[in-house]
Amino acid sequence: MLTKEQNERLTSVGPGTPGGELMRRYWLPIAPFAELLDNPVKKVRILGEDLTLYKDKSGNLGLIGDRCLHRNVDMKFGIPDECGLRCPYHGWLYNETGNCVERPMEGAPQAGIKQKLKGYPVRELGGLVFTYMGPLPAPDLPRWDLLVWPNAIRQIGVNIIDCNWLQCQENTGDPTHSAWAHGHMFEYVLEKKGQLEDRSSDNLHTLHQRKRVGVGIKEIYANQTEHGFRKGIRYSKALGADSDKDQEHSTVIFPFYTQTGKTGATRSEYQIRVPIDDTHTYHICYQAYSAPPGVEAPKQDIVPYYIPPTHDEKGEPILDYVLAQDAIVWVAQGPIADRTTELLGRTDIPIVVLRRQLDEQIKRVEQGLEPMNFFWKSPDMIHPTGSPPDYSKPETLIKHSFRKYYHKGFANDDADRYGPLIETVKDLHRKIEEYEIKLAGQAVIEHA
Amino acid sequence: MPITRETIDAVLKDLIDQVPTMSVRSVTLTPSVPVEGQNVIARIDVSKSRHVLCEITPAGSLQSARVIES
Repeated sequence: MLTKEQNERLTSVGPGTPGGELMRRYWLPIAPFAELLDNPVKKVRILGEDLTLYKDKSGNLGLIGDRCLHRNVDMKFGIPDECGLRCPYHGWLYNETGNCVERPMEGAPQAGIKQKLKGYPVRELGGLVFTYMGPLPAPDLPRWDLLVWPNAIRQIGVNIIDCNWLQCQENTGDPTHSAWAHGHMFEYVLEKKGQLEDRSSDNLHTLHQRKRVGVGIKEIYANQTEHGFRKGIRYSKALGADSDKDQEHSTVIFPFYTQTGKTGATRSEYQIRVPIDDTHTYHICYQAYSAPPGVEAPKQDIVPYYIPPTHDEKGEPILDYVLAQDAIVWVAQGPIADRTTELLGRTDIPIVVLRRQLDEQIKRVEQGLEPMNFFWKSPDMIHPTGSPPDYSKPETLIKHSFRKYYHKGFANDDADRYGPLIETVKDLHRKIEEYEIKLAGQAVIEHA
Repeated sequence: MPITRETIDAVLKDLIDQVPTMSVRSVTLTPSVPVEGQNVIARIDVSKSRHVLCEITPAGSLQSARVIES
């Protein structure tokens, strides 16, 4: 358990708070770029600040304060101009720095005004819009590999989760939760719906795999790495596991990313937990579906987005896919989990490491130092899970291999099933399987 | 300067305080006297068949933690 003060230190994100100052050293993803094609002006709340995101007629992106200086009109109703955003009430025009550059009907010449709106830098990468809300100059926008990996198609699922961001991120530091949240609870839900037989007949089904997570645990580990930390479970046959094996789980990318599936695999994902404020989280499923050399992924001009539903039309939680199962247990811990009353056990050791790492990085910022994953110059591609995948060794991509087969029904267990690209992804997976069968056939002939 | 025993104890206390379901039977350090520039491995025995290995850097960072059934 933590003290009240420790809990606040790790969870608060507003301006001037220790955790908030740490968060203000990072580029924060705040929207899919495609959303601005539907509507070029969007109200956003991020790190407890209310702001307006816009794309003007020249294609420039801006993120400025949410209220016009003149009469406090909400700028979400603003009108994009050639260069900036106009208030719809009297036409005051703001540029991307938040400066008011034109006040129609105020007469000429116009003296400059010292008041300005907030204005934060904005950039687009990999179909996501990022902002930086910290001290200037801004660092470089990190080019995490899934954002820029070639020969891949992508889609973005976004949700607002009604709890503090750290609850979502601690889920990543917890390699054993899936035994129940994605195993036994999944089974219970399908049983209640009368769908158990239809949905889980295959032994590779998510719930069967995940139920085994809790059996035969020999060791639970967490290791800090250059970009975050890795964690996993070592199993022992002597303790009841299928075999002696090391099962590494998703990789934490500090401060709020986690990666499931290897980069370059047929399905991999960043889950990104951006704090909206202390009690809400902007959750992004950044899904990439890569093809190996020999198979061409479809060309993609715009990365589409979608909102995976977490509740049905009656307001009841949907619990038959992985993200929704996670979301319900995050929210069920309360708006901000009270860590003064928790009772951690051996399976929570990686969570302790995660919290320690977070606290250490907060301290670095307090000392005026740069925290982890702060880049003045980002490499062209950063591989948070280590070296890039080697396609000549297919075994390096076998992890999470059941997700190779979205065309065989496994997409039903993931948020991806709601995505606009899902049929394209199934076609791609089918092509990859055919290609792999062809390669295997050639190998047999050569061997003979 | 090698890491001090006080810093090591503070790191371990932070971990142990968070996991009250594990009661500490003994703690041993390797090397027993910290050496400049080297990580310290602390072994926390929490039962006859379970222990935790913590790797602590000279800067006092918890580099890794493993809970192991023997």
